[in-house]
Amino acid sequence: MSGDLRLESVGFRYPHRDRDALDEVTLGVAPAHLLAVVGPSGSGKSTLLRVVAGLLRPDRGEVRLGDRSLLEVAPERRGISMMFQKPLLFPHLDVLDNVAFADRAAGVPRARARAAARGYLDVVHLADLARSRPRELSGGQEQRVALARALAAHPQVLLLDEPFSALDPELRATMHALLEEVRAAFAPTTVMVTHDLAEAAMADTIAVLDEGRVVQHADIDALYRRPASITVARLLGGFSELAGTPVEGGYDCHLGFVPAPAPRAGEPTVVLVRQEALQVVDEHGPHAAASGLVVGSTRAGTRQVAKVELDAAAGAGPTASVLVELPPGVAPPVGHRVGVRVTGTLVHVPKPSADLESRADVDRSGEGAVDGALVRDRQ
Amino acid sequence: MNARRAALGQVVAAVPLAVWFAMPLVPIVLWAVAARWSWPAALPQRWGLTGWREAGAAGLPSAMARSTLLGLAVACLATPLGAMAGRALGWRLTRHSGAASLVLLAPIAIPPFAVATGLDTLVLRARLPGSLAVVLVLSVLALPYTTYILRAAYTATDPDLELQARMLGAAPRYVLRSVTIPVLRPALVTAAAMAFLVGWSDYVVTLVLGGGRLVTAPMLLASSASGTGNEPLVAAISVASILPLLAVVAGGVLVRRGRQGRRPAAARCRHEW
Repeated sequence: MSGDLRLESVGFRYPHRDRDALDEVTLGVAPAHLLAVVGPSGSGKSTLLRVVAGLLRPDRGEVRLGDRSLLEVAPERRGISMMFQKPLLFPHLDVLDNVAFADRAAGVPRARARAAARGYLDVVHLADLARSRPRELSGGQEQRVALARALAAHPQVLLLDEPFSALDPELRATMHALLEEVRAAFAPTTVMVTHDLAEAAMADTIAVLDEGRVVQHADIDALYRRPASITVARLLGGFSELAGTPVEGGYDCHLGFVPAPAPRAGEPTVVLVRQEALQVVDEHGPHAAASGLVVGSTRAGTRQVAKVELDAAAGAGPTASVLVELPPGVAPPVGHRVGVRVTGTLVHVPKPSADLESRADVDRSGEGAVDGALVRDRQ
Repeated sequence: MNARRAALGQVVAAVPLAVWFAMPLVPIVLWAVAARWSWPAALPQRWGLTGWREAGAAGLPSAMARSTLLGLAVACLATPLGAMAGRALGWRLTRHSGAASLVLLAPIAIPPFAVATGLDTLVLRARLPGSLAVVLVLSVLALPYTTYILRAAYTATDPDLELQARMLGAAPRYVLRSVTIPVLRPALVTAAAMAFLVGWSDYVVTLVLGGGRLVTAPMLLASSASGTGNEPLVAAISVASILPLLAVVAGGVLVRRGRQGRRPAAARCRHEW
């Protein structure tokens, strides 16, 4: 049921726009794999899906399914199903006829199509709602029917355009579990656009899109440990950006010396530090690599993150702020002075060539970027 | 209790509405079955079907048939054209919706007699058959109504619904037949009924462009009314002229009620979370 999907140097620009919505996009999804596409609003995520679906024709490049080019193939003949953000159930049909729609469009007699549709409704655990009208369903039920309907089209590729974004967190978790079940049962090649990084973590690989370009395509672990650029780091969130000066064996920054395998002599850079890699300690204690003032804090569930403005440091320029994830029960108040310690491995210097936009940002502030290096424990 | 009160409220609201529509019709219905009705009698002094016999002799059946055909032809032309224009405007497929609306409204913004007279000259020059010219011009006059009814329906319908159908393997023709038309059915019926009524009840365009050779029910009515003052004849033609309109309205109401009983209208296509 699954196919190998490839996009090669795809470019697309909407009429009357002054920049490309997709620019030299090259991506591959192995059969039965799930690719998540993330990126800020307007980065071209939905456009990418519509190009793959055939709803938009690219200005250049190639879209292939297996060894077959899809460019001249009509959307309904591509073997691709798409789930939109809205369930888009056909209001004049009952649930069973909605799921049977693809078979009916293919010329299957109604009784046979409806019989087959019952099997797909079983998969999404909605067999008892077969005779219901779409208006009688809840939002989650509608999306489950939409998923069953998409599967009933026997797609080689399943495209999901933020299909769960409008659901509440509990329903979304249910839908994620259901999607895993469906992948195990039908193994479609899947491309999912999402804003939710937790949702993206379900994927085998994640492609980060920014201004129509793929700025990184990696698995979730690589993405968090080695963001290819400052743009990617900002999109993922939880990173602090610190100006670094190359010294022998590493960089000097507000957190002190950070070792790196091959620092570029003479070129300042930006060091990215994950919030989980930092710890709040006593300002005057032996482990404090730097000290500063707590200027804010945010809470997400049981996790709390403090924003600490570090003191100016010799060789590292004026003050800089870092995000520090706090352990349960530790909550220094705003205005309190604390020490900051680097405890983990999640410190990274992105490659300069990976993100021209970010380099431009850095250059404007008088800094630069140098070759990437994943920094190990600096204890 | 609340349901009964609501039903009672509906009846109370319906009574003045029924009186409003029925009041002008009562005298002509009475005249149509009267043989003699002199002032100041409240009801006819003698009943009879003289008016209907005279209307038959004056060519009412063939005039009715011509009016029906004219109404159907206008509905068949103006409804799909209105659907196309409504789709472009409702889904903002054109960047010039203001200009398009102006063009569509122009025929009903200008007095029809002036339009008909001006077009008559063009039609004569173009050597178009009169009846064809009548159908075309009446279709243009019906277009604003069909467009605006269908524009509202398209606006209330998610454009992605058609794309979703294609992503399920449906070819464009199947999408039209199995998704677009069923979803827009109430609006299509209403638009077609409006276009039919424009064609059915027209007098000016038919008179000018038809050159007097295309005798429809409104033309027969007008010529009878301006003639000898034979009220039973005029009343019979008037009543006959109303019947198809009532049938269209009743049909439209039945279609809408049937649809509402089974499922929500097209506007429901916008899903709520």
